[in-house]
Amino acid sequence: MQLFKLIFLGGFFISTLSIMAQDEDLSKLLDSSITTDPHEPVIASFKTTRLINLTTIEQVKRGELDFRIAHRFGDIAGKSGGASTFFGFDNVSDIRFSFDYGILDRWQIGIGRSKGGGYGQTQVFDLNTKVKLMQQRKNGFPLAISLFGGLTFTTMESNSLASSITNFDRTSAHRFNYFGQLLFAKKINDQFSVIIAPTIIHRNLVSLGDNNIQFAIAAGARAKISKRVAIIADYYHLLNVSSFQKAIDHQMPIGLGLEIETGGHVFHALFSTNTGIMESQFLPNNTAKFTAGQVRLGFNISRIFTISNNK
Amino acid sequence: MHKILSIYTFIFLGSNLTGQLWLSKAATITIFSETPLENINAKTQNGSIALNERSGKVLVKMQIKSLNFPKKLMQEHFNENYMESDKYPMAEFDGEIQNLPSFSEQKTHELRVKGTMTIHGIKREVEIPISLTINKNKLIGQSKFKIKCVDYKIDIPKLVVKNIAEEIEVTILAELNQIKK
Repeated sequence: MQLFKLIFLGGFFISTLSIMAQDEDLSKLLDSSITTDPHEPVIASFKTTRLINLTTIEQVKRGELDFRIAHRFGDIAGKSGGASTFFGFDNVSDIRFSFDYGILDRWQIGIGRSKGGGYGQTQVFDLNTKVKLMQQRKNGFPLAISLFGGLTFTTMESNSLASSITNFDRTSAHRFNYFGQLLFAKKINDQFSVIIAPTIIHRNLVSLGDNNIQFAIAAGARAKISKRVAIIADYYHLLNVSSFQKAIDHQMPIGLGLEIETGGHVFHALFSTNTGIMESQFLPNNTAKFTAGQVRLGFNISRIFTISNNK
Repeated sequence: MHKILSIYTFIFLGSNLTGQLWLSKAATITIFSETPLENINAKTQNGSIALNERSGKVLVKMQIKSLNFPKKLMQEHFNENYMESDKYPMAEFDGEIQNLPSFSEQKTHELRVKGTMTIHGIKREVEIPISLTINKNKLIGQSKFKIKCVDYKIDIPKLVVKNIAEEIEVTILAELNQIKK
């Protein structure tokens, strides 16, 4: 009987152990049932579709509409700035309203209208599109690659002066300009992303001694300083500066700003040297000189609306 | 004596060899919150639940990124700003059924499960209700409970506090199958 008790207790102990072992098995069982994607896509490299002047690899998702207002004030200092214009607040250099819509997660189209940044053409409409070619992935493809391009056309009245840069009497094709960019971006870590963009611009009508086709390299970055605030910056470098551009003392566009995200809105408070907002305006024609105080405040506001819910 | 011993051995050791582990790899987990401005709802069908019918242990794991939102921007914000799901990829629950029923009773049992909930890297002791329907070779588990964002240090900035409820309702529905060893 003594032996029986011993075996009984021993057995009970063993079975308790085996239940504990089973709980270990249970944990293993659960873990084996979870399949994680080792090459999961890297998201949120940038918070919105644009930095200051440079577009990003971010797109409006399928079925979503991004309504944006971009605004550039007048020169802070220099001869048209200072206290008399309240440091540029009295002047509007350029303003643009735009709608971007995501047809697919990888394809967006956009339409915009800007005042024109004081470079000849004003009343500028634009159509643009962005396509995601490659997605950056963890332990996978190291870069995000997108294609961005579009056209602008002006609805302004043609200047009757034959030599004018805004004389469109010969052909209305002169109202059109085109731009294209290949975007290479990398989210380096949770806080920091960079983008480099070889850029081409074609203007149908240019001044004597200017180039119709121009090449540039753009670079931009975003550095998060808190969960919802980041510092953003971008820079364009024009490669084939024309003799006309040398004569007008062409300046490279620079932008620096603070990005604040509040749920459905993204807000940029920024400084830029260039007065225009569209690529075919600010890149070839910018003469605003940083050292002469010709830098301006501006803001971008983006608001996302969900048009169609996708499951 | 030998007879008793062999029966005893059969019951205690033999029964351990038959399956008492239950698993669901495709539990439906939804989160929902209602505010004046915006409803937040998201769903995954990739939740994992494991249950040991002898010890009453229940384990639940869900990949945060597997939650699918109708609004993709909301999904991005949820992962990037609120859940920080690169840092904390899983939500987990590790608990024990307090009123363990007999699994031979094929009916619906209302059970209390006590254990540790881990969300956003924060561990908390909680008790959640489960309604468990025992069928011959499957279990249907259902649960609905609320979690408070502040309990798991999920910050809601003051600017968007009206858009996001401070309490989120979690619903779990799972069919568990017996695992034969």
